[in-house]
Amino acid sequence: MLNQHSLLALTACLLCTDSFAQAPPNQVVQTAQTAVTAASTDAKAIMTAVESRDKANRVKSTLLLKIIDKGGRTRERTMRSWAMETGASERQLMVFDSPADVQGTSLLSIDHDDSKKDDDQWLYLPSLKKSTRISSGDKSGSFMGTDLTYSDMTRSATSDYEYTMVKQSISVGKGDGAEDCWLIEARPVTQKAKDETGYVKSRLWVSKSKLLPVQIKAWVREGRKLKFIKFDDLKLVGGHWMAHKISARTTRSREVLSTTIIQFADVSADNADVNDGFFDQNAQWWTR
Amino acid sequence: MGRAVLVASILFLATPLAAQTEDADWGDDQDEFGFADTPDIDLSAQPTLTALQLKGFLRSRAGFWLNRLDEDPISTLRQSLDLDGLYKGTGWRVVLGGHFEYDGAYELDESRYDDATLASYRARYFPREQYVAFQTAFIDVKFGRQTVAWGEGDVFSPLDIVNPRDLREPGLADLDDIRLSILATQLGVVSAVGRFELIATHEGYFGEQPSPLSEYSPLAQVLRANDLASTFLDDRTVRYKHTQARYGLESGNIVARWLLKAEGFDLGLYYGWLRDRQGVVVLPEGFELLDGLLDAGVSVNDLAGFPESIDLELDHRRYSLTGASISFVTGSFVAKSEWLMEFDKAYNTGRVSASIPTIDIDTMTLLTGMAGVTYSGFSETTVSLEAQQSYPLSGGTNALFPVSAFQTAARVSKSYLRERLRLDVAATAMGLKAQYGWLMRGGLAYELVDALKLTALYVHYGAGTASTVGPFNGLKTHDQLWLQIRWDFQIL
Repeated sequence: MLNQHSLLALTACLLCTDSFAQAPPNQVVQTAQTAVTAASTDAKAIMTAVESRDKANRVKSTLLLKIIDKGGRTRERTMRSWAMETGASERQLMVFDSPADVQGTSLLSIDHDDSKKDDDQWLYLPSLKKSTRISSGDKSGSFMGTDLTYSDMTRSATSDYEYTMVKQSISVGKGDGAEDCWLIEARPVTQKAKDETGYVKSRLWVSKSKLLPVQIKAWVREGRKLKFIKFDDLKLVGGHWMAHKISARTTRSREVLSTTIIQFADVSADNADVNDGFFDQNAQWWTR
Repeated sequence: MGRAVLVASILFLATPLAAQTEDADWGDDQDEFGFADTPDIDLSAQPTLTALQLKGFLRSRAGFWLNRLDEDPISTLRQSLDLDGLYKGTGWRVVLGGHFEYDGAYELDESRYDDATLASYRARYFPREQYVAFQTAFIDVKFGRQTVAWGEGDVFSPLDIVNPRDLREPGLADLDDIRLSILATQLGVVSAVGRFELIATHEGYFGEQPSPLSEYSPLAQVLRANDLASTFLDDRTVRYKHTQARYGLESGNIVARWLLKAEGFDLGLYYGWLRDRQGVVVLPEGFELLDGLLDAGVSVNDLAGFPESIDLELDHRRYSLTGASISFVTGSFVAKSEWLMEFDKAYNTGRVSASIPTIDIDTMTLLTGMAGVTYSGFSETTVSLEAQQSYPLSGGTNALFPVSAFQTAARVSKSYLRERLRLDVAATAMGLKAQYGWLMRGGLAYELVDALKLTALYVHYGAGTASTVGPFNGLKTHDQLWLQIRWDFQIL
């Protein structure tokens, strides 16, 4: 089930949907690099703010995945995840708890902020009793058989995309949970981004109050498919918004090819024990 | 063979490339039906990990000899059960595992097999890991039966020196079945400059080989080289007997490794003072007299007084080694390499093509290098290549086995249907022109439901053309098709 590149720290997904501290609607929201308001119309500035926002750190969580294929057959996975931002890199560890054939399989990933450096990743397979260095490889491939890809899980460089404002204001959700959003279209302009995402273009519904995407629709080049990703159950964890449920559907000609539901449980941030020693690749306590 | 792998690779890779297009005119920009709500996952129904864990898997396998479908079609009917228990306390843990197997194919026509073959293949129990371990943040100690995977290579890993191997069915066993646990004490120390491991093994267990007269034995053809020998062996059993006692201070090994997993690369340094896993064949005293007997026109009846059980002695002589390993990533490539020098390593000399084999023992100093690369830049695909070459620096002449044969291995893995279906094609060859034999296998695994997998595996052997004995020697009618179903379960 596991190939070398498909395992990725899904916590990145969690991180990509979190936000800086809660801000009321229409208030100026500011990040380290830029400031935007609900009236902002510069799509690139908004996406730069989304990508550079502060985020939760030293995060622990449990993930439950359900993959439903076209025929309605389901597969389920559970795993534990830890993530930490060090300033120079993002460290993530995932350990699978079920199903039984992959229990104990783990992936340690060190994603360097310096894009010139290759990421460091070690995959531990308990059946082989071996922890081996792997390449992140094909980032457009499916993550663990889900509807998400490696590139869906990682932050993207805004310089790799061209952004267009499609709608200045659009509401997503119902009742009290409705979010006022910008609708922004992103097109990869570099070959690297085209290859890594596998998308011709994507549309993002970005919450104005939380400055994070709550929906993404992507045009998948391979097979001319559409992918719909939705972030639900947004909760504050350690002062940061986090989606606790992610749904992804892949469709073609209005036919649903597969659906993935990812639910987060036991999420906590700022855990003191999630530190440098925890991710020590030489100790690899999780393999013992 | 290489061409077949290449063609297969192109076929696997061509599909997604051909389907690519830059045209984005599909899907209505306003159509958002895909955002419809999904049901919540019931968190309370999920399994929770406890201090005591018990899991395992059941496996049923049926195999067919493709070259002998008319006369002798069944190669294996194996049922196996693996059980693993783990209890984790604070700073300590106990692991207890075992593997049981029974192969019904050896009941079908029992008289075809000698006793050693039946003992080796019919019903077996192998202890898996069975140890107690204590650990702090920087030190861990483990005592008991252990499995330790060293080295960087996937197919060739000459530095993977700790555990004996199960080589009863060359090229057929699953990778996770090959290493056999060994009684050992392990000390691990973690520091800022890597991890140091010191392991002392406490038993002379050299693994499982095909019994000398079994289907997979490279010696079977040699031992049955002429009609007289073949008739003589029909009523006898031939088994390996190890010179070294199973337990005893003299039987163990001492091995050590320092491994640094750093930014951009992994580097390991190795040392071993150990007994040769393969061993050298020691012919029984007076064996050379057989040649004279044959010349004198001896018949099978004249040999009736010979014992029914013949021991073929394997002497696992001690030698030492030092080595280094490295692996690093560049883009979608992972490069791996191992280098080692083995000192005073015993090897067999002589020839087996004579009516009576002439076999002697000598020692050599052997330098071995392995290099490999894995590429995972294609969609859902991994391609890997490995090559290994040994150079005798002293000795190594007139070797009975091809000690310096160039070895290559290639593998392509591709998953489909969101990793529900997986295709693996692999090939390995000994010798630049595969003159010492080669093997190709292709497997298709389909996950019916979570943790229940159906696999079809095809294996083709090339016996090679050289007169020197290689691992696939004599495997001329051994192509097989296997069907396997495996169910992994968790009790606690």
